[in-house]
Amino acid sequence: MSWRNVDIMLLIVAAVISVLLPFVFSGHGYAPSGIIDPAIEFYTKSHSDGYGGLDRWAYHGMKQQTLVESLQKDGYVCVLPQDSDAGVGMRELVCAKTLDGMLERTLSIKAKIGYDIGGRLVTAHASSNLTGDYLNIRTHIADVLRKFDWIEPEELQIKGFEIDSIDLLTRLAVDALSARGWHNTCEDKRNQSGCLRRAIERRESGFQQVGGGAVAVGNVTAVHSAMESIHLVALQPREYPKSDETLFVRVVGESMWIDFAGNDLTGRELMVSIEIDSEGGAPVKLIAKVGSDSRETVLAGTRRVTNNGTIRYFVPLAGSENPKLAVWRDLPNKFSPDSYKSIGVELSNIDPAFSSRTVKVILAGVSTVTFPEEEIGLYPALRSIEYQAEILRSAHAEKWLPKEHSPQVLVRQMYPDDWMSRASWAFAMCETATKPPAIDANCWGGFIKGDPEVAALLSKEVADLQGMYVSLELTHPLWLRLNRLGAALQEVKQESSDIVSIPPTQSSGVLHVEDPENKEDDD
Amino acid sequence: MKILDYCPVFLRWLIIATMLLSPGLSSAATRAEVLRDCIQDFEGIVWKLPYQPRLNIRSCSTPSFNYDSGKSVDGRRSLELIGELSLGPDLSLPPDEANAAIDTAIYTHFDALFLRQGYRRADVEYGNARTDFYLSYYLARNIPHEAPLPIVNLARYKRSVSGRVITLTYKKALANTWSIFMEVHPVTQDTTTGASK
Repeated sequence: MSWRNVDIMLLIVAAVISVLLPFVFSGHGYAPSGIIDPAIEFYTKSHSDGYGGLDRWAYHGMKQQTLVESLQKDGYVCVLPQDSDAGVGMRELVCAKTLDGMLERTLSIKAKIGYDIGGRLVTAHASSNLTGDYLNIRTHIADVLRKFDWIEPEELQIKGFEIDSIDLLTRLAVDALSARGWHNTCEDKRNQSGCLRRAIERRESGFQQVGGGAVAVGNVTAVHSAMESIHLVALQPREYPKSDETLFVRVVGESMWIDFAGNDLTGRELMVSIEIDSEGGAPVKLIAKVGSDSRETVLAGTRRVTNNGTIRYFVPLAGSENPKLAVWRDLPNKFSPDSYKSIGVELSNIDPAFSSRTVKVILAGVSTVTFPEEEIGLYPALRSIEYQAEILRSAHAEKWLPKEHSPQVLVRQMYPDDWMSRASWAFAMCETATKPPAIDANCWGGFIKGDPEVAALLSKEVADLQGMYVSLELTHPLWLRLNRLGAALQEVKQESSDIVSIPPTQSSGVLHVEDPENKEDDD
Repeated sequence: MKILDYCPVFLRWLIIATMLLSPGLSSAATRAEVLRDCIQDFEGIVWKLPYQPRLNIRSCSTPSFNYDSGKSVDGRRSLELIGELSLGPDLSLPPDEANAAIDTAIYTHFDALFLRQGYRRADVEYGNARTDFYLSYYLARNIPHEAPLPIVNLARYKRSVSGRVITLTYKKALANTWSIFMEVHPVTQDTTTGASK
């Protein structure tokens, strides 16, 4: 081949390229910067570039306004659906763009906008129509170009970000909930250096894999915004105006869930259910469902606390049917003993499946050591027992106990290794709140006779204190009280012959003091 | 041998690390731990608070430890107590009598506590719980109120140990606060005549 022939061939190739080049780019586009999570770009990178790259960046739930603005930047003219302010049903948004030149054609995008979900994209279809094609010559040219993906396909059902596996939905949901996820840390700070680096990583590898351990997430107040960020809609209604203080939940047995549902642009149904622990309103489990596949992920939610550091409780209110309204409750605590007085009424308003658990927490709180003096054992055991009894009595705690067993049996089951709490219940239930108090002999006998450990340790405690206060006048209120307790215990002891004697090593921590008579000074 | 060669360097870094870590370690101590350290610095006294009324330790101060107060600079140890003015549901007395009963209960507790731990009562100063504040109360109920209500305002206890005299002073401070001081002197300074129960 001579140089002349080569020259001619190169000229022809250059001419062909110069003719085709405008077509290659005419119908193509790229994701407008910042409108989607960079991870979505990873999952849609093989999708068509045609129609302004719509199939790369569209997703189910995209706001109509975002969709329109993005298409307008690519030269499309959009006609908004009529009656779009009606706020219900499905409407069609049509956007079109005319391309001039040898392959003059009109690109049309028809998008279904769901107004029931706040004016958001539900499905989209795109088509390309050549205008005035004579003898189908340009159609043939267009077909050839489409084979090389140089111009947009004639018809394109937009799939966008397709959530086609349980793994992907789990990653997506966990990423949205995670305290260190994109939604919580970078969505509004994309231009910060750390987020720019993370954006590159997400664009290259998508959402992070969900590891084996529990995922750290926020508390229930962050769940809705996280799921809305991935375009899932809560199935339980939300109060208006939206508030995180009261939320509707689905109660199943002793568990409480909030469910979210959505689709992708192919119509695939997605579901995410999040279990909320009443203690601190912490999300503890996530179940993702795509079709018949489902996967559980353990969550380690943050517990909500009050200003003084005590845990708040998120509990469903008693009601007939799901969904049930769940509210925050601050459980009573020993820092403010008066807080126990109203708990009886509050407990009656809580869903029965949750009130029994709440009772356990409250009772555990009653026997919890609160003050430094208590922690290092400075109070006589009887003082701590009576203080605990005062709280139980003021809260009418006896009403919380299930009725299947006698209180004595239940208390022994609840506190098998805690004689002081068992003794507190005996005081709370058997001693009247009168001035001076009286002890119901039958009730007292029921508690003390059946509990030799309490009988022995309480008797020893009272005897020790009587020794300590022996110099008080016989009419002093403290002496009268100790005498009355001593007599009540003695009465039970006489009636019962099988009280087990507890060796001194198991004592209550009563002060061991030296006898001054037998003590010699070192001097 | 090599370890010994590096010993000075190692020790230097050990000292620096200790200095850096020590504030963190001390701040990690709970209030209960701080209180325990302080009350254990009272020449071996095993403390116990009264059965009733409920008292809290408002402050504790020794030359080495302090709880909600500064460390003692004059060598004196002190404990400040604050409490509820109540003896529980059994107390159903007119106000002055109730206050006297509360004071007596607290004094009786600490008196027994100190005597049982080898201290002898050195002297006692009495006060009168009767106030004019509740005069209208007594008049309205036709209750005679002239008789004084003796309470212990101050009591001193002593114990000699290894050539030292330990003096404990129990003192009623305000209506609901009580203090206990401890001073230690050489035995030659023990000039107290003492008092017996």
